[in-house]
Amino acid sequence: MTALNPIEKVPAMDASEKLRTVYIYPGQLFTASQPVMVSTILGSCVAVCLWDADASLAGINHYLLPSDPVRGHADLRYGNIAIERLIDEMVSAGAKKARLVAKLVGGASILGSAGTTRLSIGDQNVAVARVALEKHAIPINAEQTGGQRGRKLLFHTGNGCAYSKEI
Amino acid sequence: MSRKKILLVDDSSTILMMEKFILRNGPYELVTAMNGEEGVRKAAEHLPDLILLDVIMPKMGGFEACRLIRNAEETKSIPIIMVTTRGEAANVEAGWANGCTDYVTKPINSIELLAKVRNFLDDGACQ
Repeated sequence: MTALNPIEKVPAMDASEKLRTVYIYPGQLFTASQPVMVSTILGSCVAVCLWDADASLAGINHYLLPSDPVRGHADLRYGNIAIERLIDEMVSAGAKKARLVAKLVGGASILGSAGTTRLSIGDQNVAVARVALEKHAIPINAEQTGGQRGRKLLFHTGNGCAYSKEI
Repeated sequence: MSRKKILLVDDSSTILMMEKFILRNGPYELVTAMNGEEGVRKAAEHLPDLILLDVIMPKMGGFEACRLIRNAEETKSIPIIMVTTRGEAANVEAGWANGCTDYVTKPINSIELLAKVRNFLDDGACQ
């Protein structure tokens, strides 16, 4: 597994190939078969980026909390819901689960977790993604998680590349 | 258990009322301010455990208030959640650049706000 590319490495584009940019907020999900630069800012939240290279399909979510305490409450702010929905939408759009690869970003413990006995929300958010992706046998090929700083994430849906920097 | 103190800063009395309603059942003491200037003053006066800070306010906006709170020795470690309007993505990034600790978006969602508040106040109820 590798770290994500730094944002400074986003390739320069000609004006003719200027990408549309979409910003996603906590509780949102985005899938695309066309090149779009998805941007988001993550603190303790986590974004899971999925990519099917053969189908040129990409998807990303941005969730706030690890799991939904209310069964059947389909709110994309929860990781357990948002990850399943993302996978479902990718497959509905034509992706094959066996071809999906994931990138995992976020999950900071902004105030640090020293002195507390339980996992921070950031840690729990990362953990729920690992469990869900492992359940579906989707490998994580790059990640930038944990730490004490927020992050800006850019995800290129045309090639599955993700770029991040701490903010 | 001692009650954690939260400073709510927003020029809209409707938003303040909504924030107070969402946080009403927590073990929180709520203090309010209606512009950035008052927010900075009350932050120094009350030394809250957490600040919810609107972006666009009269007299002094949220970014400047955030910077001043961060630059003052007695308030520099207080977590600040910036309350931004959904659709103004640039404000989220600017909030981080000015020293905020996290953000929520308007319209305020109670699940989201409570999760963030509990995360920073470590009151053991992350779900």
